[in-house]
This record gives sequence, C-alpha cells and structure tokens, in this order.
Amino acid sequence: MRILIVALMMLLFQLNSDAQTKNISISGQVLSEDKQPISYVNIRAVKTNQNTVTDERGHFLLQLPLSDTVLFSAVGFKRHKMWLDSDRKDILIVLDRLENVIDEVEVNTGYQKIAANRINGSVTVLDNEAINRQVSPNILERLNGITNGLTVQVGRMNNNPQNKTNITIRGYSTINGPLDPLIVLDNFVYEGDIENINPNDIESVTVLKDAEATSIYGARGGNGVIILTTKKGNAEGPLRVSVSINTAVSEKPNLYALPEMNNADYIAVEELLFEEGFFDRDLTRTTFPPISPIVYMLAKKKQGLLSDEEYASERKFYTQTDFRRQYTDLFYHNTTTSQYYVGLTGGAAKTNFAFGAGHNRMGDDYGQPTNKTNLRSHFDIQLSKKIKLSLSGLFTSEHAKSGQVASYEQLRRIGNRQSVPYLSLLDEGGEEMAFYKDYSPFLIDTIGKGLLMDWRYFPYSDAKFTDFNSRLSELLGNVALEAKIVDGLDVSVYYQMQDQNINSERLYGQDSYYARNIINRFSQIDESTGRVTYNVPGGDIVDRSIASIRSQSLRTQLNFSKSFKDHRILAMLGMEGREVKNVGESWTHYGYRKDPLSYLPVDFANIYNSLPLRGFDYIPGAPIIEPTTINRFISMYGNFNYTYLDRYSLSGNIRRDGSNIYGVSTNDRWKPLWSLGLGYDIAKETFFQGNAFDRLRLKATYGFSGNVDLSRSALPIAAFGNNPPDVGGLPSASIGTLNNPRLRWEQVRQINMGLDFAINRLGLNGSIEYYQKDGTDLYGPTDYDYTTWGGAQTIVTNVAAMEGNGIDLLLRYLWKKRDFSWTSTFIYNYNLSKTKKYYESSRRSALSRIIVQSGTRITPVEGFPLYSLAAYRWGGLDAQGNPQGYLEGELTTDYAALTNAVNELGEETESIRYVGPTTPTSFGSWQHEFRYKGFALSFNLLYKMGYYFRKSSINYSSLINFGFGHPDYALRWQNPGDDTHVPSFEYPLRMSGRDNFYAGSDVLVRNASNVRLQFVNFSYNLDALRDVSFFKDASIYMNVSNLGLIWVDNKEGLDPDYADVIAPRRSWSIGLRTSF
Amino acid sequence: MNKILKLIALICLLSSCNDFLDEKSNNRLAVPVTIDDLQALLDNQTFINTLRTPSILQSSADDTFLLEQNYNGLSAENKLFYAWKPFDYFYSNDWSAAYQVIYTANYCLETLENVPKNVQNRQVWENVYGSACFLKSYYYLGLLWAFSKEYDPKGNNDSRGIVLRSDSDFNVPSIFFTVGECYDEVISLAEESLGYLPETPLVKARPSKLAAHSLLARALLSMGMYEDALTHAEHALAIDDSLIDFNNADDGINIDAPTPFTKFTKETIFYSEMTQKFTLHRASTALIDTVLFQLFEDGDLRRRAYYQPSGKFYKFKGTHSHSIQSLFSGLTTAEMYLIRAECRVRHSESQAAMNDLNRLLKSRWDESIPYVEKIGDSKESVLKMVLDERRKELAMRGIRWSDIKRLNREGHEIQLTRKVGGETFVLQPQSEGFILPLPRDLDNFL
Repeated sequence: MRILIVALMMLLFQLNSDAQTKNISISGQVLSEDKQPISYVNIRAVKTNQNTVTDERGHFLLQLPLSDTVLFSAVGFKRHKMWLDSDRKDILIVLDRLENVIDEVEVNTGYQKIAANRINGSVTVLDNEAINRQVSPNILERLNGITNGLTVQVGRMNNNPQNKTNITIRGYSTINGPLDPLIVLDNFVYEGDIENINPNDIESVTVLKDAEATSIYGARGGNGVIILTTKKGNAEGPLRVSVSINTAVSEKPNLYALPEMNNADYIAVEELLFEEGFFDRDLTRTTFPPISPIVYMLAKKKQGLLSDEEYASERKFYTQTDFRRQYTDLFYHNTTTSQYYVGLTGGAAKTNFAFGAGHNRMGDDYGQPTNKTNLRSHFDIQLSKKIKLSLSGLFTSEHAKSGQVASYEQLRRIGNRQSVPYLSLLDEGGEEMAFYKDYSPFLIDTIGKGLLMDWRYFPYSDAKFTDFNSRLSELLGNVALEAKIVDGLDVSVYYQMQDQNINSERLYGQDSYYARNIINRFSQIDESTGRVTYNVPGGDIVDRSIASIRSQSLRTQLNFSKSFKDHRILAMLGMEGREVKNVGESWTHYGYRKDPLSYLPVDFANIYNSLPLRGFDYIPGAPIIEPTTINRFISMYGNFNYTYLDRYSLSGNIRRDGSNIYGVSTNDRWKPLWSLGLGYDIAKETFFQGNAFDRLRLKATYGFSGNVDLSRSALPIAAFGNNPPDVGGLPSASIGTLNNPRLRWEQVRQINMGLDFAINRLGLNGSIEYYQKDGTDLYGPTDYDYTTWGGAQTIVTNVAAMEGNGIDLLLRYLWKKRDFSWTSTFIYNYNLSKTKKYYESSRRSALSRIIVQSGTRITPVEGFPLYSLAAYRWGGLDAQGNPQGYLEGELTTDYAALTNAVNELGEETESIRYVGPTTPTSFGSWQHEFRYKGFALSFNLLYKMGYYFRKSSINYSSLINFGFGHPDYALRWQNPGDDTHVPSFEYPLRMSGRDNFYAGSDVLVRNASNVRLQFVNFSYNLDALRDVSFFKDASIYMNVSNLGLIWVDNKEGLDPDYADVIAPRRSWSIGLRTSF
Repeated sequence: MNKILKLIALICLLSSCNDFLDEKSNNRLAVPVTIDDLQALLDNQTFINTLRTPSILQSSADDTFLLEQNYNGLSAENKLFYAWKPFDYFYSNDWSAAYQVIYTANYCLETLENVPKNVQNRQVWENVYGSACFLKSYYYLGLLWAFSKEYDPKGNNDSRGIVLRSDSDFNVPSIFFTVGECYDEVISLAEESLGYLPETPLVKARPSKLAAHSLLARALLSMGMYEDALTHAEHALAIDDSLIDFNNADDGINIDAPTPFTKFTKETIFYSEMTQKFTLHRASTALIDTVLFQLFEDGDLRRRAYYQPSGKFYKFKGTHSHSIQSLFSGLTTAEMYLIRAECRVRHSESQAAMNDLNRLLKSRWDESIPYVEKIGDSKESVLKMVLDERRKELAMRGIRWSDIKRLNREGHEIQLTRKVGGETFVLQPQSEGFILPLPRDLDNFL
C-alpha cells in the first residue's frame, strides 16, 4: 500500500509540471485515392497515444503535446505514418485501399498464428486493454461480460466431478461429461490452478468457439477453448518497463441475504414440538445427539432444573439475539486484495526477453492472508539465420493461511436441526458461550467426572488455536526450437514441463476443540482408580497432505506458408504427446510440538472403545496414499488455409486422438475429427467498391470436436475378495464394470455461419453468427445385448445425444466529436441446448422427472432443455390453508393422486405444466466507454433473459424433521381470509406430499430475467508526463465491480442467480499502470 | 536435411508407441491382468458356479406339478409358462446368468494371449486356459438344452442354436449358430480343455479332466452319440468311481435332515447350481410328479433323502447343495454310472449295464433290507430300467428336459400333461414348445 501512495504522490507532482509542455495542433482531411473523404479514420500519436477520428467528411483536428509520429488507420485501407513536429493546417492525407495487403491482426490458435481475416472459424480475441478493464486476479473472471458467446453459469452443474470454471462457451455440448472449456497457456493445455496465472502476464486471450476453431484441439475442444497468450519481448526493441499496482476492497458477506426464519417463530415451533414430545426421542437416545439451546432449556425446565422465570429470561435472550450480526462482527473482515506487478521487455540484435514479477496479497472473508508471487521469464534467441530458440519459465509460489473458523452454516447446524437461527456467541455479559457440537449438553456437562479435558466448544476463541497453511508452488518450463528448412517451410519443436505441488498443513492446538475432542474420545478412565489412559496423547495435532500434478508435453510441427500470384497457402502438420500425472498422500501426527520438535506415535491399527458413547473407533489419521492418475494423449493433426485473390478462402482441420482413457479399438482405429470452412470477402470484390460496407465477409464452417471425460475407463474393473473357507477359501474376483474397447470421446458437431461487417462511415462494425451445436456419442446409460456380459441391465457408454443452437451478435459503435468519444459494444447471445436422446428405464412421464429437480442440475429428458423447470398448476389455498392443485379439472388436495396422474400422464394432465429453461437463453452485455482527453469512463451492463427459477419457501416437513426455517413462515395462512399463498402450519403433518406440491407449484416460479451492472471503471491517462519524464504511458484508474442487479423481473426483487446464497460482493479498487 | 529425417523418425516413433497408451489411467482401478487375477475371476463361485445354469427347463419338465390354488396365484405370464405356451420375460434371467460366465471365460482367454506361459506359471496358466474352455462348453450345453432343438446324430442340425461368443467386447454383435455348429463347439471346447486341466480339481467348483470327460459324456449322450459318450464315461469313472453309501453318515449324508447333502458331496465331479429366475418347480409350491415318486422302491433310501411329505404329496429336498433354494445341476459320478449303463445297453452289453445299475442301486439301498440284484431279461427291459433309474437319480437336476427331447427323437413319445381344475395342458412330442422362449428384451438385439 505504501508503494502505491508514493507512486501516486509522484504522479501528482509530475502533473503539476504539465504546464511546461508545448502544443502542436494539426488539422486536415483524409481522402481515398479516388478523392472520396474517409470517415472514422483512427488517428493516433504513437508516443502519447493522443487520438481522434475523422468526421463524416474526413476532417480531423488533433492536439499533440510534443513532436510525435502520427498513425492514420482505417479498416480496408493501408496504414499511413507521418512525423509531425510543428502546427499544420489543412493537410491532405491520402490512404491507399487495402487490396493485397493482409490485415495485420494475428490470431493465436495455440498451434499457429494466422491473420484474422483469413480465419473462417469463430474466434473472439481480447486484447490487453479489454482484459485490463476488470481487475480480478483470476484471468477467467475478466472474460465475463466482454466475450461474445461466453457466459458464466451460476450454481448450475451436472454429475461430473471435474467442473471448475462455471464457464460455458456457446451453451452445452454434453450431459454427463465435463462442462469446462479447455484452457491453453501459450502452446499447451494448462491443467494447473488458473489462479496461478497472473493476468498482468497475459498479452491477449483468444476464445475459440466453433468446430473450425476447436477441432484442432480434437477430442478435448468440444466445450470451446480459451487460449492465454503471455507477453513476449520485441526484437531490437528498447527496454521497456511496465509497472502496475492495484488495491481492491470488498464488502463483508451479507448474511442477511440468506432466507432465515425469525427467532421468535423458530422458538415457538421448537416449543410446540417439545410439547408434542417430538424431541423425546433425541433426549432419551443413548447416543446423546446435540440439542438446540431452547430444547435444552425446555428439557431442564421439565426436569425441574430450571424455573419458569429462568426459562422465560433465557427465552427472551434467545428471541432477541442477532446471530447474523454477531457472526459478521466477530468473524468477517472486509477483504482486501493488492496486486503489484513489474514487467520488463526488451531485445537486442539476436535476442529478446520478457520478465515479469508479480505479487498478490489477498485477504479472505476471515481476514486470513494469501500471498502469491509469480515470476516469469521468456527468452527468444536467434541461434543462426534459420534457427530460433525460445526458453520460458513460470514460477508461482503461494502461501495461503486460513483459520478454523466454523462457517455460519456449520454453527447453525446442531445435531439434527440444520439451521437454528437464534444462536448467540456471547452472553449478556459479553462472555463467550459454549456450543455443544457433537453431543448433548446433558452428556458433556457430566462425563468424565472432571478427569477429561473440557468437551465444550467455543467457536470464537477456537479460531486462535488452529493454524491452517497451504503452500503451493508451480513450475512451468517451455523450450521451443523453430528452424527454417527452405523458403516457406519450417519446423518447430516444443516441449513443456509442469510441476505443481501443494503442501497443506492443518495444525490443531491442544486447546482447540478438535484436539480436545479426539483426545477425550480415545481416553480410557479406570473407574476404580480414577486413572486415565490416553490413547491419543495430549499436545497438538497436525494433519498434513501433499498433492502434485506433473505433466510433460512434446510437440513437433511442420509449417508451410507460400504465396504465388493470387494464391496463398498456409498449412501445418504436427504431432503431440502428453502425459499428466496426479499423486498425493496424507497423514496425521499426534502429540506434536514444533519446537523443540517432538511427536508421539499412536496406534492406528486397533479399534478402541471410545468415549463418550463406548463406540468402537479407529484413531483417525492413518496415512493415506491417494490413487495415482495418469492421463496420456497422443495426437496427430494438420490444417490448411488456402486463399485465392484474398477473397475466397477454404480451410480445413483434421486431428486424430489417442488416449489411455479410450478403449483399445478407439485408439487403433483411424477415426479423426475434422472441419471444413469457407470464407468470402465480398467487400474486396471490385463490383462492391464504393459501397457502404468497408468490410463484408461471409463465412461458414462445419466440423467436429470432442469432450473427454477423464474419470472414465475403457478397462474392465474388478472387485477382489475371497471365497468362504468352507468352499475352498481361494482368492476370487468379479468384473463389476464392463470393458469397452470402443469407449471414446463425446463428439460435438458444429455448424457455424457468420457475417463480419464494418461501415466506417457510421462508425459501426460487428458480426453476426448462427450455429448449431450437437453432441453425439455422449456418455449415458443404455440397454444392450446382455448376451455379451449379463452383469447388468444397462451399461454406460457413448449413446446419448443433445442438440443446441444459438446466435452470437456483436455490434460496436463509435461516435466521436473532437476530444470526446463514445464507444459502445453490444453483445447479444441466444442459446438453447436440449436433450435429444437419453435412455430412461422408468416409465414415468417427462414432466414428472423434471419436476423433482429444482433446475440446478442437468436433468436429461428427451426434448427438453438440459436445465429445465416444471411446475404444478396452482389452485390457491383451501379453507384450511392447504395448497390446492388441479386434477381432472377439479381443485384437489389429494396430492398422492395428483402425483400419480403426473407420473403416468405428465403433460397430458392439466395438473402440471412445463415452465422453461433455468439457464438464460438470451444473454449478453452492453459496454460503454466515454473518453474525453485523458479521461475514460467505462461500464458494463450484463443481461440474462428467457429463463426461470424457483423461489424457495417454507417446507414444513423440513422444518419439523430437520429444523430448516424460512422467512415465509411468518406469512403462512393462519386464519380464513388471510391473503397469502404460504400454506398453513400443522403438526403433526397429516397430508403427505403437501410440502412437495407447494415447493413444486406455479406460485413459487419466477421469471429470472435480470440486468446487472458488472463494473464501472474510471481512468485517467497521464499524457502530460510523457514530455517531461521517461514515462511512455501512465494511467490511474478506479473500478467498482459487482454493483448488483439494476432490474429483475420478479416483484420480490430476488436475485435469480444467487437465490438463497451470498452474491459476489461489491468491490472497490484503485490502481496505477505505467510503463517507461 | 539430416535433421528433418531425424524429426520424421521421431514422429514415426511417437505414432507407433501404442504402449504409451496402454498405461492404466488410475491405479485404484483393479483391472484383472495377471494370471492370478484370471484364476481369481474363475474361482469366484458366486459368478461361476452358483445360480448359473438354466432353471427354465426345470420349471418346464415333468418332475413337478402345481396344485390348483398355487396355479391360481401365478402371474399371467407364469400361467402361460406353466401351460408350455409362449410367454414374455425380461432381464435378469437364465440367458444373462449363463452368458456372464461365458463373458468371464472369454475375457480370460483374451487376456491369456498377453500373458506368456512359462515355467513358473505353467500350471496356473494351463488351469485357467482349460477352465475357460470347459466353462464355455458347460454353459453352452445348458443353454442349448433349453433354447434349441435337440441334436440329431443322423439328421441335419441346421435349426437355430444359441449365440456363440469368442469376444468379451460387447460391441461385437451376437450371432446365432446352428444346432450342429453349437454342439460341435461344445464338444471341441471340452476336448480342448482335456489337454490342460489337472486330473482332479483343487475344489469341486473348479473344472478338471474328470469333469471334462464327464461333461463330454453328458453332452454326447444328449446328442445320441452313445459310443463316444461311453468312452468318456469310462474315462471319468476310471479317475473316480466313488459313490455315497446312503447308509453311511461318514460319506456326508444326513438322510432325514431338511438338506441331506452338503455343498460338495463325495460324488460331486463339478459343482453348479440352477438360477432362481424361474420358480414353477420351487419346493415351496411345486410337488413331485406322482409317477416319478412311485418309481422308488421301498428299500430305496433316496425316497427319504430326496423327498418330504407335503399334504397328500411330496416335495423335493434332495439337492446336492447347502440349501433347498439352490438346486444342484452339476456333474456326479452317479450320473457317469448311468451314462455308462445306458451306453452299454445300447451297445448290447446288457450285463455290464446291469452291473453298473446294481452297483449304483446298492449304494442307495437300506442295508437293513436285503438287496436283491436286479436282472434284466431283454435289452429293452434293461434300457427301461436304466432310463427309469436315470429319472429317479437325476430328478430336479435340469437334466430331464434334455432326456425327454432326446428320447422323443428316438420315438419314445413322451407326452407332457399338466392338469389344473378342469383344464389340461399338453405338450406333444416333437412340439415347438420344447424350444423354450428367449427373453423379450433381447428382441431388439438378436
């Protein structure tokens, strides 16, 4: 933080000296060769970045603080450079039309760099500026809202354990497979922790969307590919240093956003249940389960240990506590994140280099720090005229500290009561109160006769006795050798090694509840002598674990590039091998002391008669070796891109994959993934010249990519055991999972049609694309010819299918007048993904299968969206406050009959209706940036439409049996005439299915459409500095992110994406970027 | 240019290394690959021996009948089944139970190709190989008896047999072979196993040379190839001709107990059980055919050992297993005596046949009642005696169905009838009803 202040002060000082700079004023007009004025020509000073655009008649006016090179550029024209060192008026600039000159924007596909205008596939490139508009230390989070076709799905999942990012690109392509897109860092797939990549090291991000773009990633590109390209040095460029500093502060989590029943209501329900004897079982059980404070007091009152007055005062105390406030005040901190970064790039005749050093310090909600340091280096060395060697390394070191603060949810869970709202951490006198975590206070307060350690739990002070540390280090090394063979043909070899290690240590001090609990459990008391034997010794307990990922990749590639006359050919052929290995183990030491080091062995092998319940338990923490996973891939790939007259282009990809996850026949057979693309640049046709369009390019692609579920195996999996002794006792084995030599990747077919356009006169450009994305060969259960095995009725194999389609639209508009400009980028995405084929063994109707899900999990039902919602038709409450549905046209409270009808007939009954998808079908963003001189203000609106969610409400059986409350309880029907839709409370529950009917009914369904303000960014470019100091560029900025909903389509104002959870916190940040 | 050549060599190297992809993706996955793993797969009695041979043919046979009240409690499909009419049934069933063994055997045979035989593993290797061949042969035979027409040694055998599989990959489609091809496969697999199996097994759940000869004798007899059957029955009896003396508790029999035998008896050559997928013959409701019961003479201890009274009738308890629910269907020495006797009489060695018969009967005879040697006066009467004895000794073993089909082909005209109330169901000799229906849910695949 101190560095930041110093830097800012320095900047302010520099600002004051601004007045000394001279001013150069230039005005004029830009024309084409045929003397037509060109509007919206971008005019930019190289050193100072001063810029402007021409108006409709090609006129411009630019103020320069110092002598500079000025660039004139417009889409469809060659760039023009001019040195200006004095005032000029009415200069005429003539721009040549771009005909046989290729666009200089290059797209890195991870395998090659290719000019943007030759790509027929669908890609989005985000440059440095776009990435830096947001400040998250996670590069993927910065993509949200600014990437056409990419969306972050909140709280949506399927059964696959491998999902980490929540990102979907163009919707879904799988049902049970992994949902995450493939992440590529420079040349290779990156399987480490994405947080290890410092966004400051990233030069650009390329998102590959359609089959043409992703098929080169073969069987792993089906969910789309995100390519991160790091900064490189410039050959013979001067030394350039860039510095960036940023500090962000976020709010504390808002616990009040969680649905909570009020204390008085909850206590009243517990009193009623106690009266009715509901808790008698818990109170008399020999396992002594924990009980909530009110139940404890009531039981004491009943036993005569507490007078009515004493109970009344306890009751009053608990009615008035505010546990959320206490928890927030005692445990939560505002989180601060500071990012510091220094980068160096430069080069000499035969070498160039880039270094980066970053340090991030992040505090979590509990004020526990995480420190992360990244070091990166990159060298290019021209070994000879024809051979270039590149070496790069990325080192990440992270130390995260966390304490054992019980979460809000954990503390409210008392035995079987899952969310007791009225707890208190402190008593009236401000003293800490005891919690009874694992057993009833009746047991804990009496057991051991003072011979054991205190068995009570004090959540607040307990945090002091624990110390959790996690240390991560990652090393990523790359070697690349590129050699020219003959003109147009070169060969390159790339090698990458990755080694990531995580060491975790969780230290529980002897005074922590965790340690006391274990020590007590394994103590043995000799009743006659009063002597205690400790099977777990006193002292600290330390849990340790290590986990590591090691990967190696090797790629060899031939590149061909040649143009003769009107033909241009670009092609490559390559081969890649890769291995990723995961290993890990964990163990525990008891009686641990760090200094001087001592620890004591315990007996993990024998079973002990444990306290307090005389259970039979092993001492936990015996060493565990995690299974080693090894994933291997071999791929061969090739592509070509042919352009004729720079207008017509034909391109194609082919790739074949082998993996130890696939079956043998899949690896042996030649079944490649491929794609073909066509492009037509109409604007370059001579007959089209002079038209409104400055760019008009049609493109279409068709092809295949895939998804690999790393958790599957093609091998037969056996269980081993022994025959009983009376029949020989020989070792025996049986195959429980069938071998499938044809197990393969899931296949994704995509058709993409698109149009890129630019009308410079209007300052408008953009693209529109339509796609179809079909997943076939998806993993799913199926019936099969059981003659082949017989061990099960169904097997899981590549049989299911889904289909999706969508539109990606991007419009960018630039309006400019003198020093003021407004850039507006509008992204509209439509996507709907449906299940096409999925085996269902039950004969239940489609809607009856959908209604049991709340829409947060993929529910594969043929013909319906992957995530979908159904609802029971709502007939209001009856005269007793019972919710009513419709059955054969009549209102009914016979929930069993209604459910049966729905199970059998589904949509044919009028009892139920299909609501719609629960993931947005229309979504996108609207970004704005206003610039005036050095000031820039930008903000982004995110919108999501066309989906639904279910509002949570009270569920009485959950309330009674599991203690789950809900604020709707207060709104329940109590007397005839009550205007409410919340059913009445009754105990005991008489009608089964009543809660489920209400929870699934129409009255709780809401439209989820919403608009939120993602961020506001304000920056000031300190242009003035350039003239007087060696700064090349400097800007300070302020950013506020996660500003929350600004419009939502439900009357309660509920956030559909963060219903019943805590939404991302508002965060303020301030920062500085400079280079010299 | 040299560099390029080296590079190309590297690429070729990469592409050829399929070993690179053979590595298991997770070392927690227990993939059976070693010779001991394979032996363990074949030693899993739950998957290989118990509840595996077809029960559909026992439910269809004339060993048992149902009383009207029990018939009335049957499901509609089971009523059709009881009347020998086509009926629907689904997974799991006799077909899936038997083919699971075939799968395991095929998996072992395939995996063996990657396990070279050497001095150390020779014994286990050969046992695994021989066992896999034997098990395929054994379970194919059971399926053939149930689901196909009987074999005709003189006629053509082109009717539909069963599915023969030689691949554990379920992606390889199942194909039906003809009856002739199927029986050829049964014989050749059993003959193949002879060359590898040990003479006698370590446990009776494992195949052996003894078991392979017995299987060949059983199979060839059911094919009507009596000379060959005789040879194998003789081989089998040369290895083991011991019989349980029903008077001697030391031989492992407890005549009056609810289950008189243990799992592996002295006579057991190879242990297998019928499935419990079809239950018309289940002892809880099914009663023993009165004609069958009448065949037992007064001194015959089998009457006490095999049956217990149930009202006016009797029900079965004499399975050579540990439980009345699990009907034994394996091979015994007694069956070998009966096969040898039948083949001998058909070969006009009536006296030798009578010797076998008397040897067997004497072991079953109550020693407190003097045993009178049986004498056959003609080839026909000896054959009748042998066949009756076969029916008595091998009742409820899943063998009767095949015997009926074989004998009817030879002109015995055995007609099956079941009476319920006023209704009589009849299964005529040579009727299609002798070929039992396949499971309905395989219609889409077979």
